[in-house]
Amino acid sequence: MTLNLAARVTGYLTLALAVACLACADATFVPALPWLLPIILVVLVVGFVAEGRGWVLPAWVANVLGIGIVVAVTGGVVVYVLGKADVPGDDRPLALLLLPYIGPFLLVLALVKLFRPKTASDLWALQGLGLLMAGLGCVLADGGPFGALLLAYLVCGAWHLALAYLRREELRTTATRPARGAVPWRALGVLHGPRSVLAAGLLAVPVFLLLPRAGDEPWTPLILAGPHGGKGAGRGNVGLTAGIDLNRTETLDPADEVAVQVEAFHDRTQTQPKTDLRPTQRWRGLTLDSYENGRWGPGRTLLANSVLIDEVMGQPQLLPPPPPQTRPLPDLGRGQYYLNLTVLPRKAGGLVLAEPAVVRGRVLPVAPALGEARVRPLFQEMMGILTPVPQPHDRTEVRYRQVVPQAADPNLSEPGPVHVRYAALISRPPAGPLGPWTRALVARLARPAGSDLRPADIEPVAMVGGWTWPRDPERVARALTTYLSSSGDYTYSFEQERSDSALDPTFDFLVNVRHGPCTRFASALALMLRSLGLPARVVLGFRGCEHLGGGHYQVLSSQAHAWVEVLVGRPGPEGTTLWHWLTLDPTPSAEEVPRPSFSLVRWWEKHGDASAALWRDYIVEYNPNTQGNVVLGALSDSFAGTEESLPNSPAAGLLVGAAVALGAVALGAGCLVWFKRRRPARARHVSRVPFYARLLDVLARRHGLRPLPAQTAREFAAEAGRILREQPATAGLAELPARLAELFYRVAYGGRPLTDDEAHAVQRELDALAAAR
Amino acid sequence: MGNRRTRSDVGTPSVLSTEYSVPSSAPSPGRTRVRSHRYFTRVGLLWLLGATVAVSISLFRSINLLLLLGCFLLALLPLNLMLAGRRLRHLRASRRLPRPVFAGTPFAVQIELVSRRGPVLGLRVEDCGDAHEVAWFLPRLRKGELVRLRGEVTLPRRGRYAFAAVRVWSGYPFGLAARRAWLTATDEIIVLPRLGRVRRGLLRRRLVTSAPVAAREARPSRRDPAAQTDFHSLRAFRSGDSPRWIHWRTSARRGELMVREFEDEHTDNLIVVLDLGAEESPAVVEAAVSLAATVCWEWCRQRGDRLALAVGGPEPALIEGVTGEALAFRLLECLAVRPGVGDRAALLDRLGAEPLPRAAVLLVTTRADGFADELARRLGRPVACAEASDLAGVEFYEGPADHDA
Repeated sequence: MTLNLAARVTGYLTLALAVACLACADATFVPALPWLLPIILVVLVVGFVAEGRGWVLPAWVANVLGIGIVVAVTGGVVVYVLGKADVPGDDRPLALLLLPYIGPFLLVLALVKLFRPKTASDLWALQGLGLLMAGLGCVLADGGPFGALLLAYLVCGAWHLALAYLRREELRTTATRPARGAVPWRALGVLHGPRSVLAAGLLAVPVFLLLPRAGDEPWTPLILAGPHGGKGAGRGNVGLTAGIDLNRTETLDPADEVAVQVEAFHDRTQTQPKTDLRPTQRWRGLTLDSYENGRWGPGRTLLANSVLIDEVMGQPQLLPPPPPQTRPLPDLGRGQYYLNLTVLPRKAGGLVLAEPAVVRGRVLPVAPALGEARVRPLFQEMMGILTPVPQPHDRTEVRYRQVVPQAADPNLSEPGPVHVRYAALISRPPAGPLGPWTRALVARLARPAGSDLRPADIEPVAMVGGWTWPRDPERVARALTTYLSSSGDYTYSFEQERSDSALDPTFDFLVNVRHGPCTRFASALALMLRSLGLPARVVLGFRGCEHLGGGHYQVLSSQAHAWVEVLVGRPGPEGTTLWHWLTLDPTPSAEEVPRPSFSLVRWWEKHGDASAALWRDYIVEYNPNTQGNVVLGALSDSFAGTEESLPNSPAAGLLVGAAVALGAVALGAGCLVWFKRRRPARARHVSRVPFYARLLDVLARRHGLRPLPAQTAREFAAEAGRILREQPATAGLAELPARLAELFYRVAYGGRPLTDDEAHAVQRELDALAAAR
Repeated sequence: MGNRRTRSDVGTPSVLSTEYSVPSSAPSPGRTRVRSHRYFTRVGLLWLLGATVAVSISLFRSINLLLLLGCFLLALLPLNLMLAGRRLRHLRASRRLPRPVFAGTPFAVQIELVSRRGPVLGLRVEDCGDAHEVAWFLPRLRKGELVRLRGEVTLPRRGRYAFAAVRVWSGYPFGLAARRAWLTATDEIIVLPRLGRVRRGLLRRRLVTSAPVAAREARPSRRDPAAQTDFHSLRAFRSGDSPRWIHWRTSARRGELMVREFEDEHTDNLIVVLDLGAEESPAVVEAAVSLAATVCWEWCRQRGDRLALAVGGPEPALIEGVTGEALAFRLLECLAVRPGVGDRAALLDRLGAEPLPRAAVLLVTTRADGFADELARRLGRPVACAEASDLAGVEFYEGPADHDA
């Protein structure tokens, strides 16, 4: 293949990969783009063939055509964007609105330039457009497939750069006659691209990791998607998050990363492993009580209604603190058990506690793990329930102990105090049509005979504080839960979709979409309950765990779950009412998402998950926290030599190891180059004749004798014999070198090999020389 | 060099249109320490700008993927800077220049290049001066491979001309950064004036007709070839000599044709006087120099005559000798570098001070103002005049062909 053809092939391939990158990234915002991709690729092929045959448009025709197309596309984009800008609640600046639509514009520009007569600057401009497409893709996408496409683009681009350079220079120097040089590499230099990318990557990645970052939160393309997102806005991972954004439309990926490691014991001394944790054990994470514009979050109510507990993991305010390692756990009665939890908040989305996490008295049921000396406020108490403080970006592993009481009803909390303001806040009905729709639903559910819900149960009752509840709120709540989970109208899926972006996403789910993950169900139930005046909130956490044996458990990211807690009253002693949090799980449990059982597929999934985690943690979501905790922390800890303070992340160790290895290799290579430049290579006196080679070896190792440069074998033997003769131990063998040198001449140049007897004799004498000191 | 591979670029002609077989100059000695420097190309600087913009935007908005891409683009620059021309310092080159070199006449420059270390990729070799630039591109130069590069050069003006050091350049692998090295020393050559064509017979006639009638009548007629008496000496064979004059025994002994020379033989001695005016256009001056050079060149093709060239200038030059190859180059080199505008009195004084051979005189001048008569009076012999400003009137001369056209 000629250089010209190879350069053109790689050039068009690079351009095609850039287009593919852009189509992959821009698919969220311009859904038509992936469908246009085959057409664009065909146009590229046509352009390639046309260029090869010299079919190009005259420059003025191409210019007029190009300007026309560009103006038309620009007009279309502007009209489309202005139309989208009218969406209520969308307050993004126009620049952000326009950003996704630069992609089609670049595409059109590139295609227009294809059919022009091309000079060297046109070729640069074409590849520059490709680079802009890739760069725009980096802004618009963060998924693994885009990363793979980007890598392919870079590899092909580096290959093309080299070929284009050779072709350009060939044309520059042979402008007067056609140049048809061949590619000066084997296999067209296919390996050139990967090698270049690897070399550049070794320089670029450390710079990327070490560059100081300004913002805490990395960029996410969803910023561009607006409040209602777009159809198919990428993939998300199943796992605990800092909140719920129901506006996001994505497909969840059930990654099997270990989020929490648990050791369970029956006794305080941790000698009897507990092996019977319930398979449906709930692990409480964040409590979400604020709902606004389709987003659930911890909200503003936390600080107003709870006490931030410093002394749980930190210093008590008044009393002299006991050492954190020996902080006692309370006695929660018969059947209590003890858990050692190891949590990586970055993977788990925060800290978790086994349900029920009750607070009795002043002694909290959580304490730092033995040997752990961290001092930080990590938990807070909310009306008798201990909940973790949100800290999803903490990259440091946290270890702590928890004592869990034996609960008669795992779905009902122990009675606790109720803050009226808080109850009012979390029972505020949502605006919109959800209230009437829920009341109609409840009425419908109470109508059939044999239903657990009776019409009398839903009659509104005025409560203290001015709001009304159904007469039997618990029955209503359970009926709604059953409706969502078991009626068959709703199904579980990993798809988070929207049908009508003008509606509230929860109402859209209830009325139109009717399928989705647990967060949709939990949100729907909580809002339905609130629309009836019941105080309800959403809890994020995990459900279930895998027993590894010996009381060791692990909780996976794929076991992340969301459920609802509603405040219900039960009669107490002396006519009082005791308030409990009732746990309700509205997610249908019938459908199990099929998981491949084939081991190779599982293996692939597992490693794919690891790669995806690496991509997410160290590329897409890499932020100052990661930088500080992992890179700098690992380096400083390594130099300090404090093993226990090293981050426990295997990636950190890998990174440090790679950096050290890289440095060592670079240092070694530098030393080698320096050594080779400073000193001429030492002549190696290795003979092709085995016995003479051994003689040289023995003389060198045992007696430190080596032939000088240009010294013949006979001369060396004479010198060696003289030195051997001076030492009593070797005086008897002083003639051996001379004799072997003569034999060496005979064998090497006379063509007369040793006989067997001679060989044995020589061997014996050499053994004797080797043994002599 | 026994096993050295050799490659040649024979795309351009290298034979000069001259009858002289002058050996080309010796190859320039390779420098022991190669000067080189690295730099970013224009595209590389644009690349740097683009990558910096990408990195800045991505840092400002925390766009990690764009930052990674920007870092990658930036990393290509030092990588290219490091790899570009990695082994240029281990290249050795020599340049061969042919002699003589005439203005306006193409000639071949040959450069020999060899790599003492590993292969060198994407190599551009440049040979340039003020008036020429030749470049070659070698996609790959293997270790120990000797490459001969030949290029055609046409220098437009006579005079001294400097060839810069042979420059090698490589931007491999990406062309974003490059390294340049100078491999040879600079060379200087003398570019001889452009040559036209002189018809010797017509020039003789002009010289004869310029003489007064009495002188013409007194001039002995050319010897009758049949009358082979008054043998004087032997000389080399010239075009036009009768084969009967060949002295075979001496020719066999010396290995070249020798003819008998007779006592009364007329010789083609000539004195060329070049007179340049200050106010004339450069084209007329160059035409006069070319005319004088062409006459000298033509006259030197016939050996054994005496030829003198007087050139005006602040220090007038007078070169005289027996025609032949050596004298031809002396005269043309003088015409290439010396001619200048000077005062005629100094020229006349110089001519009067030197003993001149018995020869016809040809004045090549840029102006027709009666200087020929003054010269004739001063020298006491007839002077034929050729005016460069009116070459149509110089019937024995055709101006140089324009090779550039």
